[in-house]
Amino acid sequence: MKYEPLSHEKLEAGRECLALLDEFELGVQGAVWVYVPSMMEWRFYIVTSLVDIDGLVETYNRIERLFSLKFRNPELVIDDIYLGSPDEAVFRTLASAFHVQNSSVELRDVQINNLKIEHAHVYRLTKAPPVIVAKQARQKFDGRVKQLERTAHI
Amino acid sequence: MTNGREPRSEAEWTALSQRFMAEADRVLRTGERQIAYERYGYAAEAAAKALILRRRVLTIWPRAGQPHADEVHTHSIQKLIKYAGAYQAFCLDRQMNQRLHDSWLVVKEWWPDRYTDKPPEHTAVVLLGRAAKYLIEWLDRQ
Repeated sequence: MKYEPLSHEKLEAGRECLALLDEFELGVQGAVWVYVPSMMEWRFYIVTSLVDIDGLVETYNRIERLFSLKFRNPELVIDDIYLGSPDEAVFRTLASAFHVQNSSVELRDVQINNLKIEHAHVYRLTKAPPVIVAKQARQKFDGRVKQLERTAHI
Repeated sequence: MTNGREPRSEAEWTALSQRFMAEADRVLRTGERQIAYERYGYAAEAAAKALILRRRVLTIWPRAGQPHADEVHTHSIQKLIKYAGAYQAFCLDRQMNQRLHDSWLVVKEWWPDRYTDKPPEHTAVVLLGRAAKYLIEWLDRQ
């Protein structure tokens, strides 16, 4: 299967997803489309320190709860979203080389130390905040989602 | 994924899946976290490939360059489940079965060369092992 560039629609869907998570203040340190050659596919990664604090499953469930209430873009369903930790080599290395905040940067054939990225689109890549800040963001996020759930049930 | 001849039948893919699983358990006990991580994922991948043959979507595993080879020569377990025609049932079962739902969230994150410079944490590998086993049980029942 040959490489296919990321579609404009998927690129926009990624941006929309990040905007929603920001609106609810999840505490997202990275949002990146990465082409994974061994999988022959593009993957949309949300990078958040909550993965280290609460674990993968709990963080997914948190995002899924919001998605079920508010995200309606067929270009990006919950199964298309992947989670990463800011401490993971690929994101840590990228964040040390590029500081991207609310933008869209395309990377092609980038080599940083042992890390080789063939294709990526980066909306954001920043370093992890202190744990206390991440926990405060999580609390805000949970409160806002709960509020949304209450509104949805009225 | 395979060092020797690639499996061609359902029985061969199933046997390979079991071999990867046993190997992953063994190397995890000796602390080889990176290899265990790879093998647990490969075990789930091989089980998904067996499912494609069991459902007779393909009757024989295609070699590189043959028709359908591009679609199935992938490590993407999600793509393989879709190709097997089992994705809809999988989504429904995940809604009803929390353990399957959570197992999938862990397995879908796997890709063989994800941890290149630093092995994953022991607990992350254990979690992947448990999740892969549960997913394989589901795949084997289809």
